[in-house]
Amino acid sequence: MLIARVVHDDDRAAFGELVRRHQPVIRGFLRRMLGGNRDLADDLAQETFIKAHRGMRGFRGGAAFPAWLCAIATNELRAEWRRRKRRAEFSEDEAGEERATQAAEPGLQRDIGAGLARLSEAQRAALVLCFEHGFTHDEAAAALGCPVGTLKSHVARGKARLREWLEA
Amino acid sequence: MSESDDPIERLLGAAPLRPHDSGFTRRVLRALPPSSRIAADGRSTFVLASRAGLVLALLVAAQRWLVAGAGSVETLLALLLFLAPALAAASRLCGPLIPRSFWRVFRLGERHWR
Repeated sequence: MLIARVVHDDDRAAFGELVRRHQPVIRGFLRRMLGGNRDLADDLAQETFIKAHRGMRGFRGGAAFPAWLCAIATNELRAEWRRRKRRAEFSEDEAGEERATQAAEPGLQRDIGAGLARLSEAQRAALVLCFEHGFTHDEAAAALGCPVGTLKSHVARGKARLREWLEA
Repeated sequence: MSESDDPIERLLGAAPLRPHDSGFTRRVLRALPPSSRIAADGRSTFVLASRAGLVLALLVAAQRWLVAGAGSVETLLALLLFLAPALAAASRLCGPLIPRSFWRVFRLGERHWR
């Protein structure tokens, strides 16, 4: 209903409601993926919602709306990583900033963040979407743009590595 | 996802990171491009108002012409002087007053028949 109002009437209030409802997932996902860098995560989340607004007509409703938003957020993340690689200046300053924001999180959050930081990006994304945000395997696979089998393997490997770290 | 016995799943589900504040919603709404609907509405209101104004001006001019004694050359000249820029400005601002398709009827002879 809200999506139809945005598409047909360009209803800003309806879009605001969509942002209000889905920002916890998108911002949380991006923060986890960026090691707790809040400012950058929120910038990418904002860009995600702006692109979603622009491309809302393309949403077919086949995938769940949060999964569709996460797919856009994942593209934003990949673009950000490409930019960093191109600049080749993911310097100690930026890494230090990420570590500092992570340290500012409360205890359990910090532990989870530290554990997830040991995983590959794909494993981290799979675990965060499936167990932190309650996506089904199908939804998470759609969000990350990979086959369901690949996603399941990321989940299994990620869990194994996280378990090793917790038991060490 | 349902409640799980897996400690990893429980750990991740126990304290989900779900930032939420109204400031972010406002920030996103401010960053959106201007609404095309508002722009289109504003333009069509302007067009309608301009056309209504022009019709009123034509009616007033016709009434004055009748009162002043229709047929006098001075009145006709004065009317033309007033109407020519008014019509030019109106058609520039809100499109042709007479549809282009109407004028095509008179351009049949200009076609290059093969």
